[in-house]
Formats: sequence, structure tokens, C-alpha cells
Amino acid sequence: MSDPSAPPGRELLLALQLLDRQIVDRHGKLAGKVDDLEISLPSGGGPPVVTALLTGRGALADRLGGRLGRFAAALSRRLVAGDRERPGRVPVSRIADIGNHVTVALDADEMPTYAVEAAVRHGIVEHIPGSGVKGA
Amino acid sequence: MSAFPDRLRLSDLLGAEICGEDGRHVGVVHDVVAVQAGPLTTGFDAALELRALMVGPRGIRARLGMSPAHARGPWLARLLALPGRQTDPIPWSAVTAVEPGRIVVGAISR
Repeated sequence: MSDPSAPPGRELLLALQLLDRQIVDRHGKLAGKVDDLEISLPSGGGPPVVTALLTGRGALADRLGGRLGRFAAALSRRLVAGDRERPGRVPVSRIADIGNHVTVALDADEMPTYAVEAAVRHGIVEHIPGSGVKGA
Repeated sequence: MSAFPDRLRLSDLLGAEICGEDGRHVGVVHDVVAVQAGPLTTGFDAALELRALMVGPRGIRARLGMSPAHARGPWLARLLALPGRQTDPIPWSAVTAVEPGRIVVGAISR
């Protein structure tokens, strides 16, 4: 596991080591996947900088493209309005660790992906008898 | 008008065609190399800086994550990535324009 206080200069292959990785909150709770990365290009020149992790079906739909992407976008719109237009954005400054998974210094319920999970939980899972979710 | 957008996504770069300024096809982007320029928790200025594009031929091995750029792990994974043409890093400093689906590079000094 990496340490954020480790000396700078660590090299990462972004697709291999960040894309599709599990995001884990500060308590070890699963909080979505890294579906894409936002990259900003400084106006004054210099190398581009990764500014945020993008998460949620909206980001994934854009990345997939084609029929599968449109299906993911439609599903996303049904679950959470605005999910496609505004994919969840986790600033890089909130990353605590990058290893087998990405640990963020946030609580899962602060994460944008939590809205989808909450919609599924309240709209579907809690109506299943025996699901153990309050209201079932 | 700048040849670079203010903001893009990693997915805009992955799979993009790399061309020389004369239109010569160089390859496609398999991955992007970034360097942690400082502790991540100190914010934007010390974040992950893009340094190079890993470029190679378009192919099924790249789509399955078995290109030489990704050849890490068990011996079988490394063996599958061995034959064929190599994946080369192209430094970001060589990039002269980023267009949808296409990245233009100038002279490359390695």
C-alpha cells in the first residue's frame, strides 16, 4: 500500500492502476468505482494534472459509448436525475491512498455514488421481504 | 485558439490515434503515465502530473490489458505480452495538439 507522505516521484499508469478500481471510504466502506479521471491543462502551460476521480454511471456511460453507453445512461437517468450530466467528482486532494483500491478521505454517504446506492436500496431492495433493510 | 482543451477525461486519451504533424500514423494510446509530484493530500499543485502517453499498435491484446505497457504480474501475463511490437512512451512535451479521437505529436526526443 502506498503512503501519501511517501517521497514524490511515484509513477502510475493511470488506466492500469486507477481506472475501474474500487473506491473505499475512510471507514473501509465500498463507495463506487473509478469510472474516469478528470484532467486539467494549466492555461500557462506545463504538464496536465489529474484533478478528480469521476464516478457513477454517468461517467461510465460516457466512457463506454455506443449502445451499451446509451443503456447505462438511460439506467442512470432513471435511478438518479442528473447523474449523467454531472458525474460524481472526487477531487484528487481527497485521495488518501492508491493501492489495490483507492481510499478517499470521505464518508461513503458524502460520495456522489451514494445517491445511486440509496435509490436502489429504497426503491428496490427494501421492498424485498427478508432483505434485512429497514422497511422490508 | 489553443490546440489544447482546458479540461479532458482520461477516456478522451485512451484509444486516441497518435499522428505526427505530417499526418503519419504513430499508434494508439494504451495508457497514460503520471507522476505523483508531491503528497496527494496537499492539493491541486502537488497532484498527479501527466508525463507520457504509452503508445502502441491497436490490437486485441491492448484491449484485454495484455499490451507490454501492462505486462506486470504472473509469468503467464508477461509471456502473453512479449511477442509483437512494443509499446513506447511518448513524452507529453511532444504533444502539439489534442483533438477528439486524435493527438498530434511533434519531434520526439528520448
